[in-house]
Amino acid sequence: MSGTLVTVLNTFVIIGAVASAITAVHAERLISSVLALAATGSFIGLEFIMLQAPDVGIAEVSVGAILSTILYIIALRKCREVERQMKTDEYLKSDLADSDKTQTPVKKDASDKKD
Amino acid sequence: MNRKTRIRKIELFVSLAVILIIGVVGAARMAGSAPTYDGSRTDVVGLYENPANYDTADADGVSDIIVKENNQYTAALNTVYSVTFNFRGYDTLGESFILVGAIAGTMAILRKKGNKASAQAVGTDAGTVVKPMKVVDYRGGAKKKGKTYRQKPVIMQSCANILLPFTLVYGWYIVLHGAMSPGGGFQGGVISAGIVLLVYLAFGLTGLRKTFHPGFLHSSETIAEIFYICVGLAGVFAGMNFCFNFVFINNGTFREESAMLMNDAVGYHVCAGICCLLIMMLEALDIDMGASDEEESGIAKKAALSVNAQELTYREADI
Repeated sequence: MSGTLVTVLNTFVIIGAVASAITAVHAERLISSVLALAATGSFIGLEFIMLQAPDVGIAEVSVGAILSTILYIIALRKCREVERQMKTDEYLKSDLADSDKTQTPVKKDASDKKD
Repeated sequence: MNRKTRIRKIELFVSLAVILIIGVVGAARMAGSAPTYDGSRTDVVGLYENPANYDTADADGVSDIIVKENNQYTAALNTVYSVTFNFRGYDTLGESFILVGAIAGTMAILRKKGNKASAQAVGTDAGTVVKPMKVVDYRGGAKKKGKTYRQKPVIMQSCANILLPFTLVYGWYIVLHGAMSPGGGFQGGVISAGIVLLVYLAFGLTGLRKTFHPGFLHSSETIAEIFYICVGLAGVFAGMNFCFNFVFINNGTFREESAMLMNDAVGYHVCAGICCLLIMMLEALDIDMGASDEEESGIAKKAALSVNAQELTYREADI
């Protein structure tokens, strides 16, 4: 690769990494921040490969852009689920939900007591 | 909220200005300083026995010395390999410990007592509970002892059935060819741990529980770690250093050395560990039998409208 091409590519990759990192901090929604972190990890992985370190590049992309993004998205889904459950609990305990309450409890079979 | 957006804009501009100033000043200083490789003799590898043994008169920095003396000291196939598993085998062991610690911490928080979906019972007052919800049969018609499962789309099941062996083969190709091509244990382990996600997307949480057992995965991960330590200690018992590289099969085409054994141990360790981690996180989600039956979503909608949204921590639009 010629000198100027390397310089231009390096500049674009680093500008992209800095821009996506700033987006991760200043985004409105949490999931936008998570995706911006994935983009930052991908840009830095690309930079590692351009600096002739493909082992580190593969590790950065697989851990920073794939695995940590997945874990964050699972945690956000769980937050949403917990919040929906809390709202349902409060609604059922209040007086507005007389038509939705039933008197049949959930049956507990014997296998519930095992660990 | 005009004041809040103004504060955020000021914050954005200030952070951009700081990054710009530091970047420009740093680049100017780097351009004016001496280069890294200046051709003079560096003496950092004097932590081994005798620097006079090196023929590094025309060496170009530390990396050149390691490349030149690699064959003499480790007889490994690949320079990166030899640095990771022989010169710095102790650091790689520490990296494996990081993974074990992370999984132990996740287990402490997310370990469930039983295998039941706890989303069925809602509410603590006696008598005011939601009815157990009806779910669609898995595989259209076959009920197993009263348990019914949510059906996933057929296209996900078909694609997962085709892609699972290819993913495993690709991931383990990267692990086993760590000496010849880029990759190695860590990278290939993370790639082969993607089968957990494939099984989860195609067959749901029930399919995941039938396929994997997180206790067994954690045990096998620990056994891989012990194997790494034993291979590293074999050099100590022979009178050499920790993580010494001994070549025990060297035909013309086939070559096996201890760095390869350590690499495979790390690959298995990472694969089992990340499978265990993903299974625990996905079990915490527990939305396989969650809300989107008609009754349940109706109640959830009414609840969302009636409860004051500002009392709760997260707004749904944010997530």
